Amino acid sequence: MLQATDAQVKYRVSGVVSDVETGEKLMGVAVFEKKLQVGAVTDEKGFYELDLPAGSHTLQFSFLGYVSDEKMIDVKGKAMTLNIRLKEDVTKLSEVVISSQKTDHNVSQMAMSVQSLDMITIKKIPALMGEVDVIKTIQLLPGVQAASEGSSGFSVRGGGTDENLILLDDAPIYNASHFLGFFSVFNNDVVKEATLYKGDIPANFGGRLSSVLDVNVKDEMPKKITGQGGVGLVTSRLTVEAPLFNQQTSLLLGGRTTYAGLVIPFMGEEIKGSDIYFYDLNAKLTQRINNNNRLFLSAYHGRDRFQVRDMMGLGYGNSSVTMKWNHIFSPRLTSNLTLLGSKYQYSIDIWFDPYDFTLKAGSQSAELKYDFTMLWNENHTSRWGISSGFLSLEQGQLDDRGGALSQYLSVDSMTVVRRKGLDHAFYFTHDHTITPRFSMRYGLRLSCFQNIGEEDFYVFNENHQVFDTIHYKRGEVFNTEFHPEPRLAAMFRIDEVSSVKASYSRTFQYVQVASAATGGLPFDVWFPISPNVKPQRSDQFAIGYFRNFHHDAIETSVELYYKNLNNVMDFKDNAMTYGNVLIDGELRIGKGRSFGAEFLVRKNTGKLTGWISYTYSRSYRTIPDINLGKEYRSPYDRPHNFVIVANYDITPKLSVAANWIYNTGQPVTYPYGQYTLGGVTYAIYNGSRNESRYPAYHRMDLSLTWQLPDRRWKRWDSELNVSVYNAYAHHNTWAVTFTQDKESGDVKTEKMYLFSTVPSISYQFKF
Amino acid sequence: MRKNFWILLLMVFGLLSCREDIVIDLEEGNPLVGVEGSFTDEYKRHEVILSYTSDFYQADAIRMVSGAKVAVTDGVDTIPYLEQEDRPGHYLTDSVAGKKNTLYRLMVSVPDVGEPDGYKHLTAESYMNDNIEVIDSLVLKPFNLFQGIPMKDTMYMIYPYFQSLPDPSIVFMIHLYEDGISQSDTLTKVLAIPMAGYAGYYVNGPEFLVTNMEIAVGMVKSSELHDGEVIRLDLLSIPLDYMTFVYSLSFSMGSNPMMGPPTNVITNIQPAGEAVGWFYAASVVSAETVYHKMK
Repeated sequence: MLQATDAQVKYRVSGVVSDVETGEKLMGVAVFEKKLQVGAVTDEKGFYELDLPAGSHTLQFSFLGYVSDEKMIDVKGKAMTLNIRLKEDVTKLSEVVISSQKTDHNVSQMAMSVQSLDMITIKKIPALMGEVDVIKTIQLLPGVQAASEGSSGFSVRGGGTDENLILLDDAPIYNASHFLGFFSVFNNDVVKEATLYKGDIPANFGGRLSSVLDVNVKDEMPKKITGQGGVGLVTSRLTVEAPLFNQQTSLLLGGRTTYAGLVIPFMGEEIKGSDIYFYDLNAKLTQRINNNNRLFLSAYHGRDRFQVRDMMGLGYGNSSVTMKWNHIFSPRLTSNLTLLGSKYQYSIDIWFDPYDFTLKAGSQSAELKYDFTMLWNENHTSRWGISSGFLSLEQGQLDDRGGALSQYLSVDSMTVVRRKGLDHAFYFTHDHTITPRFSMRYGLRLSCFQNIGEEDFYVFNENHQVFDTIHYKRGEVFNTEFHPEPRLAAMFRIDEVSSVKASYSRTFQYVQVASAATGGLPFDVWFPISPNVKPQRSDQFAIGYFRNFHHDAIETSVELYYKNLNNVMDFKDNAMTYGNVLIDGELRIGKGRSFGAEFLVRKNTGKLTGWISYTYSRSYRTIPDINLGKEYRSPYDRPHNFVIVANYDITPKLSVAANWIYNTGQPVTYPYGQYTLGGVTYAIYNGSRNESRYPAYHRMDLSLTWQLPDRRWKRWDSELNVSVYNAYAHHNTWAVTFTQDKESGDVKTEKMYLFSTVPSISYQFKF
Repeated sequence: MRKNFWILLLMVFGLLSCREDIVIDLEEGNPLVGVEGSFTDEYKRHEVILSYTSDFYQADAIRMVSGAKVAVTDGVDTIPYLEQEDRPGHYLTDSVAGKKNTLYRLMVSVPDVGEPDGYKHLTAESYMNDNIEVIDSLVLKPFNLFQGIPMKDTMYMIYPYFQSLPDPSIVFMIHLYEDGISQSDTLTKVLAIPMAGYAGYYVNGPEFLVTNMEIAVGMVKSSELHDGEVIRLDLLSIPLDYMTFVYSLSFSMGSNPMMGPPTNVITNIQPAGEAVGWFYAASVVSAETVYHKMK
C-alpha cells in the first residue's frame, strides 16, 4: 500500500470494498481523497484504511470494470468504518481487462518479477483445442518457457520444471498436468486469479528454487445461483456458485471432463476395451461467521486414465484439500490459520507375461500454518507466520505378479518404499515506506527439513556406491537441515510514472523430482534430500526499471537477473530414475548459474490489449562426472524468447486475438558416430551434454470470440469461440529420432512434431 | 520394465505425433574400437568381431580392425582368437567349449601407432553362469491376442518346460531357429527373461498354470511354417548386465522430452571411453520340436 499524507493529527477511516452483486471482496480498489490527494488500495480481503484529518472529505472508490462511487464523510475526531459495494460496469466489460491490481501497480508496488493474471485476460488468449489454461498462459510471460511443445511443465528463468511451487488454494500440486501435459489441472472457470513469482519470492513461500505459482479458487459470496461452463471439442465443464443460509455461506462446485474415450469403440475391434479420459472436480465452501471471521474449505480431485485393452494401463491424479480460518483481530491485525493436505499418485499396470505387474508411486503431504498480517501504519506492514508439515514420498510400490521385475528394480515384490520428512518454517517480512519515494521490504524465512523413519537408508561412498545400510525406526529423525533464507527488496519511485526496483532472495529446495526428463511426466516421483544429498540453494539478484505511459494504459519494464545455484543436481549418464530406491547414487551434484534480461510492454486498456515481451536468458551447470566436468547448458537454456499477445475488440460483441511465440531451440545431445552390434546400429556420443539445439520453435495462434445475442433468457450470456493453434502449421520439433532401415541398414534422422494446425470451436456460457 | 514403460508412452505420443525426415549437422569425433564377442560352453568356434565406429551418416564406410591380438582366458587356460584371412576383423577360436561357473576375461590388443608398444589394450570380463540340465519339452500352442476376433494367420506361442534353477539371478536369452535358420539374428529379435520370480519352479508346469503364469519364449506364424518344420530353442544363461546392455540399445537412438539426455550405451570393454560393444559368456541348453500342420 502506498500512501502520501501530511503530518497533521489524523483519524483512521477503514472498511471493506466488495462487489454488490456477488459479495466478492475486491482487491486493488483505488480509494482516493480528492482534496488532500491521498489514497490507498484495498488488500486481498478488500480492506482499506486511510488516515485523514478531522473534517469533511470526499472519498472516491474506483476499480476497473466497476462503476466508480463517491462518498462524503465527516471525520469527527475518532476512527470510523465505511464499507462500500461497487457495481460491475457491464457496458465496459468487453472493453477492458479487469485487473485486481491498482492501475499503476507496475511502478507503485514494491514487488518485482511478479505477474498476476486474471481469468478475463487468460480467456482472451487463443488456446490449444479451445481449452484456455492458466499454465499455458503463464508460459507466454517473460522469463517463462514451456518445457516442451504441449507440456504443462514450465521453466522460470532457466530453472527446472520441478523448481516451481504450484499451489491451488495454498495446497501444493505435485503434477499439474492432464492428458500428459496438454492441459493443466486448473479448470479456468473456478480460478479467480493466478500469480507467478519469478523472483523476489515473498518470505511466506519457500521450498522451491525458481518460482511460485499461486492459484486461487473463487470465493465470492453471490446473491443468487450463478454458473458458467463450456462445451468444446475435447472437454466440457460446468461450474455453479450458490449462496446458502441467508448469504452467510457460499458453495462453488465445478467439474470438467473429456470425452476423448467415446470415440474408441468406433476405432476398430482391436482396441475395444481401451479407455482414455480425464476429469477434475473442484469444490469450495465459504462460510461467513461474522464480520471478523470467515471459514474456507476448498477441495480438488482429478484423475487421468489411459488403458490399452487388457494389456497395459496408466492412471494418475491429484487430490487436495484446504481448510482456512480467516480472522480479523482488529482493522490492523488479520490472520489465516490453514490446514491443508495434498496427494498425487500414479499407477502403471502391465498385464503382459512375464511382465505382469502394477507399479504405484506418488507424493502426499499435510501442513498446518498460521499467518499474520499487521498494518502498523501507512508506512509499516508486517507479515509473519509459522508452518509445519509432513511429507511422504512413495518411491515405488510394486506388485510384481509376474516376478520378472525384481531384477530390474531394487524393489522387492510387494514392498512399499516411502521416504518421509518434516518440513518446518518460520518467516517474518516487513514492508517499510521510508520516504514517499523510497520503500523497502526485508524478510527472513527460517526453513528446516528433517528426514524421518521408517527407512532403510543407503549410505553412499565417494564413488556413489552403497557401502552401508542403516535402518531407522518409525518417526526417528535421522537428518536435519536448517537454513536461513533472507529476502530483500527495495523500490525507488523516480516520479509518478516510473520506478527502479531491486531484490535479492535466497531459496532452498528440499524435495525434487527423480527424473532426467525435461518435459514433466506423470511418472515424476519426488524424493527428498538426505545425508547423501544436500538441499539445492539459489541466490537470485534482480534489478528492474518500470515505467508507465498514457495514464498507466501502457506498462513497460526491463528486469535483469542473476541466479547463483549451489548443490545443483543432475543425473549421471544412463541413470535409472524410476522406482529406484538407490536414487541418491544416480545423482551428481555441482553448481549452476542463470542470468538474463526481460523486456515487457503491456497494454491493459482500450480496444487493443495484450503484451510484447522479449527475454534473453542463459542457464548453465557445472557438475563433476557430467560433460567431462566442464560447464554445460542446462536443458532450459534457450537464449531468445519473443512473445506477442494481442486482443482486439472489433465491436463490444466481437473480438479477435492472436499470439506469436518464438523460442530458441531446446538444447539437445546429438551423436557423432555409430556402431552396429548384433545387427543393431546404435549411436555414439562424445560425452558432451546439450551441445546442439533443436531448430527454433515458433507458432502463431488465432481466435475469434463472438458474444451471442441474448434472446431467450436474460440471465444467459454465451459466446462462441473459434480458435486455431499453430495457424501457419509450423512443425515444431518435439523429438529427434534416428531409425535404421530394416533393408539397407541406413540410419535416417526424423523429427517428431505433435501439432500441425489445430482448429477448434467451443461454446461458453454464463448465467 | 523400462522397455514397457516407454512403449506405453511412445504409443500414446506416437498416436498424436507426426514425423518428417530432417538432416542435422553433427560434430565429428575420433572413432572408437567396437568389440562384439562371445564365448559359450558349446563345442564350436567362438567369434569376436572388431571394427571401428563410423561417422553417424556413413554406415557404409565401416573399417574393420585387422592385425589385432585376441584371446580369452579363465585364468588357467588361454584360448586365442585368430583373424580370418577372408574376413578382416573377424577372429575365431578353434573348436572349444567353455565351462560353466567360470569367469572369462577377453584380451584384445588393437594396433595403434600412438601407443608405446604399438597396441591399444582392451579387456572385458564376463561370468559364464550355470544353466539348467535339460529342457524337457518344447510345445507350440495357438494364440490369439484379440480373443474372439478371428485372425487371418494363426499364431503359435512357444513354451519350454523345464525345472528352473534355485538361483534367482539367472537370466535366459532366447535364440530361435526354424529349420536351422536363426530367427534371432539381430538383437532386436532377442528376448531376455530374468528368472527371479520363477527360480526353483517347474516352468510352465502345473504349478505355473494354477497361477496362470506361463512363460512363452517366442512366437511363430503358421503361414511361415511348413509341415514337419523343426523349431529349435537355445536357452542361453547370460549375465544380467548383458541383458541390460541389450535393452539399453533401444533407447540410444534419439532424444525427446520424456527421456533424459541420450548417452553412450553401457559397455563392459575397458578402459572406459576407449571402446564400445560387449563381450559375454553364456552357457547354452537346446531343445527342438516339430511343427505339424493342423488339418
